[in-house]
Amino acid sequence: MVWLAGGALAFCLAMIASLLALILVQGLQTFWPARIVRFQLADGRAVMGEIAVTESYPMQGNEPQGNDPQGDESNKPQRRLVRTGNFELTNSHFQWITDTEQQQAPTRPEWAATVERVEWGRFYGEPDEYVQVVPRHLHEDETALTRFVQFWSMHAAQLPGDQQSMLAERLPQIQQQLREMQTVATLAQKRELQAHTSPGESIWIVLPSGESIAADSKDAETLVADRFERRWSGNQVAWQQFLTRHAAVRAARQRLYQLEKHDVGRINHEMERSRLAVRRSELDAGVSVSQLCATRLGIEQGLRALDQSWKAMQQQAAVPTSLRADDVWQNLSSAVLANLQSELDRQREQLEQDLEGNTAKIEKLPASVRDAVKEDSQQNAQASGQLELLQQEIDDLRAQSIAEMLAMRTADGQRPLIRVGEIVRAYLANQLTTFQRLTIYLGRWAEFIGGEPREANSEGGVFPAIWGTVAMTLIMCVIVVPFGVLAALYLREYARAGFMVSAVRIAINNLAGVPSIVFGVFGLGFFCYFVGAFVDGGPPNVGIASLDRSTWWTYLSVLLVVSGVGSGLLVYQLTRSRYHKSGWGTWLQVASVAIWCLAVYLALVVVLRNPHFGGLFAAELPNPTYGKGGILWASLTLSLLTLPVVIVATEEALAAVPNSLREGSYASGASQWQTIRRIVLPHAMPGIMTGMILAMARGAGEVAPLMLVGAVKMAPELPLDSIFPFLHGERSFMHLGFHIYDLGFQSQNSDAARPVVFTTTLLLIGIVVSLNVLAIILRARLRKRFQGGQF
Amino acid sequence: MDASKHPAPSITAPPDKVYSSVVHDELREEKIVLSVEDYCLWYGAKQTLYDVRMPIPAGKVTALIGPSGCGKSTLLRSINRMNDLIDSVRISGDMKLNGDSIFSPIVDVIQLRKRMGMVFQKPNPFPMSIFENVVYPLRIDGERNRAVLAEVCERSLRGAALWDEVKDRLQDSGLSLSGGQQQRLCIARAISGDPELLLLDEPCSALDPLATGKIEDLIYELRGEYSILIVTHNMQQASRVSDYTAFMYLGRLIEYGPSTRIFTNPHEKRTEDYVRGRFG
Ligand SMILES: Nc1ncnc2c1ncn2[C@@H]1O[C@H](COP(=O)(O)OP(=O)(O)OP(=O)(O)O)[C@@H](O)[C@H]1O
Ligand SMILES: [Mg+2]
Repeated sequence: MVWLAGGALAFCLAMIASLLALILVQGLQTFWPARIVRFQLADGRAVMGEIAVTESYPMQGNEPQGNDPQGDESNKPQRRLVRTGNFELTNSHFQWITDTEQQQAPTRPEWAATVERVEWGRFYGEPDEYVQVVPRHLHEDETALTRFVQFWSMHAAQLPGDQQSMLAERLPQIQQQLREMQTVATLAQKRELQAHTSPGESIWIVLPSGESIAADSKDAETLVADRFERRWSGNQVAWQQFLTRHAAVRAARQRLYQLEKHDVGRINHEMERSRLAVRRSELDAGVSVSQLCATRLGIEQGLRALDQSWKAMQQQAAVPTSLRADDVWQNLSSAVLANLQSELDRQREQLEQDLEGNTAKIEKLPASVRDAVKEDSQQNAQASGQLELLQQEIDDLRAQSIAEMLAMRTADGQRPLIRVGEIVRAYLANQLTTFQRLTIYLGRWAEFIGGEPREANSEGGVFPAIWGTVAMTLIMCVIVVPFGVLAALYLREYARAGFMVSAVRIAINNLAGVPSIVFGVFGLGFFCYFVGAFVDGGPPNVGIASLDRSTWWTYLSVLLVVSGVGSGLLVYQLTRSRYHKSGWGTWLQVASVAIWCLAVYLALVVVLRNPHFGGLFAAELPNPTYGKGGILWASLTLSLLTLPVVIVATEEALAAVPNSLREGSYASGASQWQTIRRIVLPHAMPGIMTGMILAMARGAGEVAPLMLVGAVKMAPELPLDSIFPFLHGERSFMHLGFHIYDLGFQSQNSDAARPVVFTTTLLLIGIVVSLNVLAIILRARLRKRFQGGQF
Repeated sequence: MDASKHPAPSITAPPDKVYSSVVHDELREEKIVLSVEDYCLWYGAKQTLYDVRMPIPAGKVTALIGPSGCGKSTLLRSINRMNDLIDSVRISGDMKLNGDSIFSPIVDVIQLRKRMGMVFQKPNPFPMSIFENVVYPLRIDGERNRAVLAEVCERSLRGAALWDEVKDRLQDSGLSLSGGQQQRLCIARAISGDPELLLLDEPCSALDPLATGKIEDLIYELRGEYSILIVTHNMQQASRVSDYTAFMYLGRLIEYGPSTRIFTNPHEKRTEDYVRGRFG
């Protein structure tokens, strides 16, 4: 028997250990930078990549049999799953390669590099050339001259006939002048670039047609360059150049991402807010101004556009310095410009009239709406100004981040250009020292833990998921611990042991056995679709007719009276000496229960059918704010799920507090609450903490209910951030457990996602284990404090 | 409140002879701190105390002796109404602490308990520092003034003859003391609220002889300053430390008088048998 029991235990331990070992091994090795192997296939293709899986496979009948009849493991044909990357060229990330397909033994090319990119996944190839695009410097008067030519080719028709012919005569001259200027500028810049070449670098001229010509070729003397290219050719040179430039280019690209995501997002958020303010005032005042607002917006945009085009025309019409000598141009320009201005003024007048009409209409609106609309239009004006400024910076950064490229040669000889700004990390996989490998390994872990996911979550980090998990668990704790502890206190310290208490206790224990998805369904149905919808839009939004106002006030006053009577009864019962029960004590008890039931019913009516409550987020409807999954509802659902854990643990802890301590406290003249607060709770604290941690561990690892109440694959914003009000209970969030499910089973590219599944699992287990360890340490310390040396 | 309001217990009234307890005349001259008046107590349907009528003299040590299960602890716990914590308890009769009724419906139990101190059989220091243990009764009254607390702490610890042993480690846990020290700590806690009456329920039964001796000395010291009611099984102890001794048997007070008389020349046969160790 002993052997049976011991064996069973050993079996269980072995299973758990092997599970952990699998996750540990798989999870830890994922980020280790593997070597790149090149396979030359019999059909002439060549493939390069990391080996993901190697396995033997059963021999087919027509395959040549090995000489060795024993079928030694090493002689069995093997096949390998190779991560080949280069998705944009091959349309797959992985490829199976069998031994028999290979023409010769695989090699490890010295210059093979692994490139991790923001998009398209990995790239494997050899660095061939580094390209940096340099825009051509403009001659000081070139811009003005170009604009001027443009201006006249557009507006020549407005001149009287004789002047038109004069213009037709002179324009080609100007163009000739312009071309000379450009040639000079090109030549000057070419010389300058050539003077500063580094070893291995060559300068190329790119023509407006896109054709590129080496700068030192003969016919390059008279060309007009659209832009220049500095090229560093050869493995070593290109790679060296990449290493020196990568960080700077990447930083520009990241700044660009930040601007696009956060700054533009913030401006849009502000605009949305003021729009909602208008909507809210509309709802309050019972009018509709959306038409008015839209018109106003259109007019204001039109006005701004007019301003801009006027400015542009003035710029264009300005006579370039090189033509100033000739008065003719000045006269022509002013004449046409005056023409144009009157045309624009006419348009402007029209718009301003419209605006006035619009303003008059708005002035007639109720003051609150009017203010909100004005606020909104100011906000819009301000936002478009800010966006313009941002756009400037964004354009600059974008130009910077796409100006540099790395040409990579793949195994089968293609040579695509990869934008350096989009390279997250690149390394020469077959030349690394162990230390470099370790650096890359740790860097990948850091990115994984601190970064945001890319590529449908299969690459990049899981920071939002960690953040979401932790935030949700903490909120859950904040909710479940007070409730659970109070409930346990009532059951253990206040309630008289009896049928009711046992029934409640059994019910709680059964609650722990309900499948978690049931909680999810409940959370979705009750929290999201009922409570949430009620918060959003008030009674009508959940299909409850609200009372009319006078009835509601009647209900409210009845409620106040009833609860007053109830409290009076309660106080009377509590203060009555228990040695002097009068005959109608039982009736009193029944009456008090009935009164409290009535009070609860009335309170429900008063809250649910409140005609004064129109919802906190009525302006956003029909888009739900709280009436859908969100971190608050998820936390509440999990609180329900973990409530039994906390209650049971707390009850046990309370039961373990020696009665002699309670008696000592009572004998010192403490009330029951004082005894609980000063003696019982501190003594039970380690046990309560244990319950809390168990609940946290359970909650952090739960997935099924979360899928219904707010966990999502990709959340655009964190549920807990630095923007007021910091905790955004309505936001959906990412969760590690859900992340694992999503990566492992919902992802299209499951081969690529698999390693990340293991690392994510490892992380989740790590979080849960560290929570538990923390709990154990805390508990041990508390225990030492409260239950130290018995005599 | 009179007994007629309570449903009659299902116990036939004992014969008249057993009812009468002998209370010696010496007690009539004493100033009385607590007078127990025709006190009966039931645990559910089982009567445990029968018409106890017993004056406790002020400033003296009164010992309560009797065989196990005769109701000594029950009587003691009735005095500060610790029996309120037990659901099945019913009572009749009353007690008066310095003239104030204890069981009257208008009494605030909390305030009542603050007027007495109680020490239990097993030392039960709270899981906090020695200092906090001693000033616990003041703390729950909301006293925050550190000077007052420190003063009370020192006075009580000196009163409990523990000051010299712990004065350097007041912030250590109360649980770090030895058993005897813990019991003296509990006594310090009990006297820190200046009780009108000190109730000790077999305070030495969990201690070794040495610690017992210290506690006995302490009780001897406290005589005069406090009125003490002590339950004990130890005849020597009772005769050594007490001025008066009450003998209880099967829920009744049998004989009550000066300890010297009770232990040398009792009036009742049962008392004599018990103190001579012939039963119990
Ligand atoms: N909570 C209780 N519920 C029911 N009966 C009780 C309870 N406490 C005590 N009793 C009973 O009351 C009687 C008196 O008990 P009590 O503890 O007062 O005796 P005692 O004189 O203190 O005995 P000992 O010397 O052993 O401490 C005993 O018969 C006991 O069984
Ligand atoms: Mg006892």
